[in-house]
Amino acid sequence: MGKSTDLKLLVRRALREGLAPRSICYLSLDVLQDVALAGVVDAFLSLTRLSGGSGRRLALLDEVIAVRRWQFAVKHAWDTGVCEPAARQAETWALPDRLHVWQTAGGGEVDFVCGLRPELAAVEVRYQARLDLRKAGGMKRGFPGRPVIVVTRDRLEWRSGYALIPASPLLWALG
Amino acid sequence: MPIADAEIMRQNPWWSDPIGWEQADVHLTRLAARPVCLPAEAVD
Repeated sequence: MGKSTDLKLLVRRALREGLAPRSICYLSLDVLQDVALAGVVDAFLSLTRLSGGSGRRLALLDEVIAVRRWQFAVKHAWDTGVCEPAARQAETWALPDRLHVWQTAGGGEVDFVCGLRPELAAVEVRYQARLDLRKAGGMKRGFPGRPVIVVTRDRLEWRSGYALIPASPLLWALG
Repeated sequence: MPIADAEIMRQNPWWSDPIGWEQADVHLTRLAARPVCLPAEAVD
Protein backbone atom coordinates (compact mmCIF):
# COMPACT_ATOMS: atom_id res chain seq x y z
CA MET A 1 0.00 0.00 0.00
CA GLY A 2 1.42 3.39 -0.95
CA LYS A 3 0.99 6.95 0.07
CA SER A 4 -1.65 7.65 -2.56
CA THR A 5 -3.76 4.85 -1.16
CA ASP A 6 -3.33 6.27 2.34
CA LEU A 7 -4.55 9.63 1.12
CA LYS A 8 -7.57 8.10 -0.62
CA LEU A 9 -8.42 6.32 2.64
CA LEU A 10 -8.22 9.68 4.38
CA VAL A 11 -10.62 11.14 1.82
CA ARG A 12 -13.04 8.30 2.35
CA ARG A 13 -12.82 8.63 6.11
CA ALA A 14 -13.35 12.41 6.00
CA LEU A 15 -16.43 11.98 3.80
CA ARG A 16 -17.88 9.35 6.08
CA GLU A 17 -17.27 11.63 9.07
CA GLY A 18 -19.37 14.30 7.43
CA LEU A 19 -16.87 16.67 5.86
CA ALA A 20 -18.39 18.32 2.80
CA PRO A 21 -17.08 16.71 -0.39
CA ARG A 22 -15.98 20.02 -1.84
CA SER A 23 -14.02 20.79 1.30
CA ILE A 24 -11.69 17.93 0.44
CA CYS A 25 -9.14 19.06 -2.13
CA TYR A 26 -6.72 16.52 -3.59
CA LEU A 27 -3.99 17.26 -6.07
CA SER A 28 -1.34 14.90 -7.37
CA LEU A 29 1.61 17.07 -8.28
CA ASP A 30 3.14 14.59 -10.66
CA VAL A 31 1.20 16.39 -13.38
CA LEU A 32 3.31 19.47 -12.63
CA GLN A 33 6.74 18.05 -13.30
CA ASP A 34 9.16 20.61 -14.71
CA VAL A 35 6.77 23.41 -13.79
CA ALA A 36 8.16 26.53 -12.09
CA LEU A 37 7.40 26.98 -8.42
CA ALA A 38 4.79 29.61 -9.21
CA GLY A 39 2.94 26.94 -11.13
CA VAL A 40 2.43 24.99 -7.94
CA VAL A 41 0.86 28.02 -6.28
CA ASP A 42 -1.33 28.58 -9.33
CA ALA A 43 -2.41 24.94 -9.21
CA PHE A 44 -3.31 25.24 -5.55
CA LEU A 45 -5.33 28.40 -6.27
CA SER A 46 -7.14 26.63 -9.11
CA LEU A 47 -7.83 23.70 -6.82
CA THR A 48 -9.43 25.85 -4.11
CA ARG A 49 -11.33 27.94 -6.68
CA LEU A 50 -12.81 24.92 -8.40
CA SER A 51 -13.73 23.22 -5.14
CA GLY A 52 -16.12 26.04 -4.35
CA GLY A 53 -16.00 24.95 -0.74
CA SER A 54 -15.87 27.33 2.15
CA GLY A 55 -14.68 27.21 5.71
CA ARG A 56 -12.28 24.50 6.73
CA ARG A 57 -10.73 22.43 3.99
CA LEU A 58 -8.69 19.30 3.91
CA ALA A 59 -5.92 19.85 1.37
CA LEU A 60 -4.03 16.76 0.22
CA LEU A 61 -0.98 17.20 -1.98
CA ASP A 62 0.23 13.92 -3.40
CA GLU A 63 3.47 13.13 -5.22
CA VAL A 64 5.02 16.30 -3.89
CA ILE A 65 8.56 15.19 -4.57
CA ALA A 66 7.78 15.36 -8.28
CA VAL A 67 8.23 19.10 -7.99
CA ARG A 68 11.73 20.11 -7.03
CA ARG A 69 11.84 22.39 -3.98
CA TRP A 70 8.08 22.16 -3.72
CA GLN A 71 8.23 23.11 -0.05
CA PHE A 72 9.25 26.63 -0.99
CA ALA A 73 6.26 26.99 -3.29
CA VAL A 74 3.92 26.06 -0.46
CA LYS A 75 5.80 28.36 1.89
CA HIS A 76 5.42 31.13 -0.67
CA ALA A 77 1.67 30.49 -0.71
CA TRP A 78 1.67 30.85 3.03
CA ASP A 79 3.73 34.03 3.00
CA THR A 80 1.55 35.67 0.37
CA GLY A 81 -1.70 34.88 2.12
CA VAL A 82 -2.93 32.09 -0.12
CA CYS A 83 -3.04 29.96 3.00
CA GLU A 84 -3.81 31.22 6.46
CA PRO A 85 -0.74 31.75 8.60
CA ALA A 86 -0.31 30.03 11.90
CA ALA A 87 2.46 30.30 14.42
CA ARG A 88 3.58 26.74 14.74
CA GLN A 89 6.89 25.03 14.88
CA ALA A 90 7.65 21.42 14.29
CA GLU A 91 11.07 20.07 13.50
CA THR A 92 12.75 22.60 11.27
CA TRP A 93 9.68 24.44 10.02
CA ALA A 94 5.97 24.10 9.65
CA LEU A 95 3.26 25.45 7.44
CA PRO A 96 -0.32 26.68 7.78
CA ASP A 97 -2.83 25.49 10.25
CA ARG A 98 -4.45 23.26 7.65
CA LEU A 99 -1.37 21.97 5.92
CA HIS A 100 1.66 20.72 7.76
CA VAL A 101 4.89 19.80 6.06
CA TRP A 102 7.91 18.62 7.89
CA GLN A 103 11.50 18.60 6.86
CA THR A 104 13.66 16.49 9.06
CA ALA A 105 16.52 18.08 10.95
CA GLY A 106 18.96 16.58 8.51
CA GLY A 107 17.04 17.98 5.57
CA GLY A 108 17.36 14.80 3.59
CA GLU A 109 13.87 13.50 3.97
CA VAL A 110 10.56 15.22 3.53
CA ASP A 111 7.59 13.88 5.41
CA PHE A 112 4.10 14.91 4.42
CA VAL A 113 1.56 15.50 7.12
CA CYS A 114 -2.05 16.28 6.45
CA GLY A 115 -5.00 16.77 8.65
CA LEU A 116 -7.82 19.03 9.63
CA ARG A 117 -7.44 19.70 13.28
CA PRO A 118 -9.09 18.90 15.57
CA GLU A 119 -11.45 16.70 13.58
CA LEU A 120 -8.75 14.50 12.08
CA ALA A 121 -5.62 13.26 13.72
CA ALA A 122 -2.32 14.39 12.35
CA VAL A 123 -0.99 11.83 9.98
CA GLU A 124 2.53 11.45 8.78
CA VAL A 125 3.03 9.39 5.68
CA ARG A 126 6.61 8.32 5.46
CA TYR A 127 6.42 5.33 3.21
CA GLN A 128 9.79 4.00 4.14
CA ALA A 129 10.95 0.51 4.71
CA ARG A 130 12.27 1.34 8.15
CA LEU A 131 10.94 3.58 10.89
CA ASP A 132 13.33 5.80 12.81
CA LEU A 133 11.74 6.13 16.24
CA ARG A 134 13.70 9.31 16.96
CA LYS A 135 11.94 11.03 14.09
CA ALA A 136 8.60 9.70 15.20
CA GLY A 137 9.38 11.27 18.58
CA GLY A 138 9.95 14.56 16.80
CA MET A 139 6.47 14.33 15.36
CA LYS A 140 5.02 13.90 18.82
CA ARG A 141 6.85 17.03 19.95
CA GLY A 142 5.39 18.87 17.01
CA PHE A 143 1.86 18.02 18.12
CA PRO A 144 1.99 18.16 21.92
CA GLY A 145 -1.01 16.43 23.36
CA ARG A 146 -2.28 15.42 19.94
CA PRO A 147 -2.47 11.90 18.58
CA VAL A 148 0.10 11.18 15.95
CA ILE A 149 -0.12 8.34 13.50
CA VAL A 150 3.00 7.38 11.65
CA VAL A 151 2.51 5.28 8.55
CA THR A 152 5.38 3.44 7.00
CA ARG A 153 5.38 1.07 4.08
CA ASP A 154 3.80 -1.69 6.06
CA ARG A 155 3.25 -0.69 9.65
CA LEU A 156 1.34 1.95 11.48
CA GLU A 157 2.45 3.40 14.80
CA TRP A 158 0.10 5.15 17.19
CA ARG A 159 1.14 7.19 20.25
CA SER A 160 3.81 5.96 22.60
CA GLY A 161 5.01 2.44 22.70
CA TYR A 162 4.89 2.10 18.94
CA ALA A 163 3.17 -1.23 18.97
CA LEU A 164 3.88 -2.62 15.57
CA ILE A 165 0.62 -3.06 13.73
CA PRO A 166 0.31 -3.86 10.04
CA ALA A 167 -0.83 -0.63 8.47
CA SER A 168 -3.24 -1.82 5.86
CA PRO A 169 -5.75 -3.70 8.06
CA LEU A 170 -5.80 -0.91 10.64
CA LEU A 171 -6.26 1.81 8.03
CA TRP A 172 -8.89 -0.36 6.45
CA ALA A 173 -10.69 -0.55 9.79
CA LEU A 174 -10.31 3.19 10.38
CA GLY A 175 -11.74 3.83 6.93
CA MET B 1 1.69 25.13 -18.55
CA PRO B 2 -0.94 25.57 -15.81
CA ILE B 3 -2.90 22.59 -14.69
CA ALA B 4 -6.20 22.25 -16.53
CA ASP B 5 -9.45 22.61 -14.63
CA ALA B 6 -10.56 19.32 -16.11
CA GLU B 7 -7.53 17.58 -14.59
CA ILE B 8 -8.35 18.97 -11.15
CA MET B 9 -11.94 17.81 -11.49
CA ARG B 10 -10.72 14.37 -12.57
CA GLN B 11 -8.54 14.11 -9.47
CA ASN B 12 -11.43 15.04 -7.14
CA PRO B 13 -14.26 12.74 -8.24
CA TRP B 14 -16.00 12.93 -4.84
CA TRP B 15 -16.99 16.52 -5.66
CA SER B 16 -19.49 15.22 -8.18
CA ASP B 17 -20.02 11.70 -6.86
CA PRO B 18 -19.45 11.54 -3.08
CA ILE B 19 -20.49 7.88 -2.86
CA GLY B 20 -19.72 6.19 -6.15
CA TRP B 21 -16.17 7.50 -6.54
CA GLU B 22 -14.79 4.74 -4.31
CA GLN B 23 -15.75 2.02 -6.76
CA ALA B 24 -13.89 3.76 -9.56
CA ASP B 25 -10.78 4.74 -7.62
CA VAL B 26 -7.81 2.66 -8.71
CA HIS B 27 -6.03 2.86 -5.35
CA LEU B 28 -9.00 1.76 -3.28
CA THR B 29 -9.92 -1.03 -5.66
CA ARG B 30 -6.34 -2.33 -5.59
CA LEU B 31 -6.34 -2.21 -1.80
CA ALA B 32 -9.61 -4.11 -1.66
CA ALA B 33 -8.21 -6.75 -3.98
CA ARG B 34 -4.92 -7.12 -2.12
CA PRO B 35 -4.93 -5.59 1.39
CA VAL B 36 -1.81 -7.34 2.72
CA CYS B 37 1.61 -5.64 2.92
CA LEU B 38 5.08 -6.94 3.64
CA PRO B 39 6.64 -6.59 7.13
CA ALA B 40 9.36 -4.07 7.95
CA GLU B 41 11.77 -3.35 10.77
CA ALA B 42 11.73 -0.58 13.36
CA VAL B 43 15.12 0.89 14.28
CA ASP B 44 16.20 2.85 17.37
